[in-house]
Amino acid sequence: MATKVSRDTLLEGVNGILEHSLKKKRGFLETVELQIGLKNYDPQKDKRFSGTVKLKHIPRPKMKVCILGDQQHCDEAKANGVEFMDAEALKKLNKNKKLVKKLAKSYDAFLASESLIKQIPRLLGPGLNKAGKFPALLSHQESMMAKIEEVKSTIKFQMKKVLCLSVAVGHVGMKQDELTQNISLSINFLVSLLKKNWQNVRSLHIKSSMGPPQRLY
Amino acid sequence: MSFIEYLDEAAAKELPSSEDEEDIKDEDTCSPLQLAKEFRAQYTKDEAVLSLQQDYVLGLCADTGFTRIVAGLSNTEVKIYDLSEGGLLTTVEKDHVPLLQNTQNTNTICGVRFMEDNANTLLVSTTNGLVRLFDLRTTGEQARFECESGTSPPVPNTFSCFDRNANSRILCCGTKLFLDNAFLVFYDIRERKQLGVYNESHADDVTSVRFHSKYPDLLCTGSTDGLINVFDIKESDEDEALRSTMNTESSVHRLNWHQNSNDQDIITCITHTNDFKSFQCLECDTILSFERSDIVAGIRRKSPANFNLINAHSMKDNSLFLLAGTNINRGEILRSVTASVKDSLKPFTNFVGNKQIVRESLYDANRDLLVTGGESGIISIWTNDASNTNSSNQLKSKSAAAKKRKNMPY
Repeated sequence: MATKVSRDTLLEGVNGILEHSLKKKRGFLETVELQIGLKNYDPQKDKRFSGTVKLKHIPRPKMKVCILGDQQHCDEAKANGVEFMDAEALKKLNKNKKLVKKLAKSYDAFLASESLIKQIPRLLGPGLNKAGKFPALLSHQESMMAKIEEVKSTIKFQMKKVLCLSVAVGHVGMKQDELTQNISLSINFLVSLLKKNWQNVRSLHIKSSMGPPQRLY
Repeated sequence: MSFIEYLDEAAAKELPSSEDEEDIKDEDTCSPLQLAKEFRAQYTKDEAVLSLQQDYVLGLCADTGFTRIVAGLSNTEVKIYDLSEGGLLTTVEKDHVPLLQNTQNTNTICGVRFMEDNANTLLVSTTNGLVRLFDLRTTGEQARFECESGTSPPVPNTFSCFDRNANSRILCCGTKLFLDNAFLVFYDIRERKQLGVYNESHADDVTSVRFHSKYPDLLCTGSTDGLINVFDIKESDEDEALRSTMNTESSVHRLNWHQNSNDQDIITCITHTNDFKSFQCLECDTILSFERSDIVAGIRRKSPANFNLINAHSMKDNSLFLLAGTNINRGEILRSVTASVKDSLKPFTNFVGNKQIVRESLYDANRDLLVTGGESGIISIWTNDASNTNSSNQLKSKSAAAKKRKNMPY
């Protein structure tokens, strides 16, 4: 990416955003977005531009994760101060649509043990599916806290009809180098998915929720 | 193929145009000699050019006996070919499927399927929310299936994918997300009527709908929400029909059903970020999981940024191979790797002389024959037969002439 977006341009853009956010204090933590304008891409014919990317630094710090765990994972969650539910607690919801919807709304993401994840359709019905909150698998081969970090660091992107894509890459409370790293990583990954890489990119901007866009490319 | 032949082929390749692709550096990760050792080679037995106007082949289907192929283009044209035992294509003369009249050019093919055991009846789906049924022995449309209007919640009239079930009685179409609902719309093909919808199991655009090839009630669906749902549509209620859900934690592009050597049902998934996963259907266990970089290394190429994971196919012994290609230089590289728990990813076939970015493929396990279709509007038949290179030379000179004209406008 060095030749396309110079390190200086990126730092300038990030500083611009951070300075602007300090000028006027908002009642909420502004998100920083990366906006990509595409060209020479036909959304009807070309392969869809959609997926997830794992960032280096957590872009949304306040994400609430709930563990749907077997005995071992529930114990571990308790020890680490992470909220959890076991199979019994899920059974108590009795597949009630309103309760499942409420559960879905209470958390930003769920992780589930292997033995539990298979039972979700039986225990809860499609409620979590519909809410876009179906759990990710938590295996016993990986650290729970590491998986939670991973889930918190992963962002979704999808280009719909218009040739422009917006991705949340951080927030204004992050340090300059953290934001820069997240932006750099995102740009490299997203561009690498395009058929003609940089030849499909028309423009790149970064922007805080309330601030003006800073052009990078 | 021999080392000398491979070198000749490599030397004859056109260099990239200076207009585009100058930044994308990609190459093999091993010598041509090593490549020839690791991959067996397959060649184009025959080719057909369906379009010279930048229309992509976006739908491909063969009948059960693999004697006939139907191809759907991005401009909604449908072409049908007979495929001989030896792998040669013959156009089926009568153009049975009329082009969709569409001045805005916003509709495209989203699937073509032969009816079960019948190489004369086919279903064609387009993104404007329409599935048409044609019988090649008669003229005109046999039937059409569209979304019923005025339902609540409202179903959008855009289909993104479809499939028909094992006994060709049920049709299922997946839609985009519309007012917070993504639908699976079911039709009774024989009765020509809409049966109902599911709209609780996906939270975003449905991108893949696949019925099991043997069990008429078994269906799997995938979406950009990253989920793969398995349904038993014998149950009328969606809640009861949803058997299991697998989370790819990505965005689903293509699903396929396979059977492993223990006769267990496997679902393979290709994501929009070019990763591959496979799941054991009954237990929902992940069997294989390969990231883009793993598969790029498997096909012996350097750059994940120049990579296109196309499809997964089963061979006669139920083993699996992944078809993958590159994008620059008009998709010059087309290769496959076998995928197994025991051996991970291993080089398998190098398809010599590929001319386009491949988007669709079919594999006949009995003849070890691959059919590919892609962005240059070409259908290629690949076999082990190295003798026939006439058609590929003709096509080469066609594109060379076109390039020459491009550079000399006066």
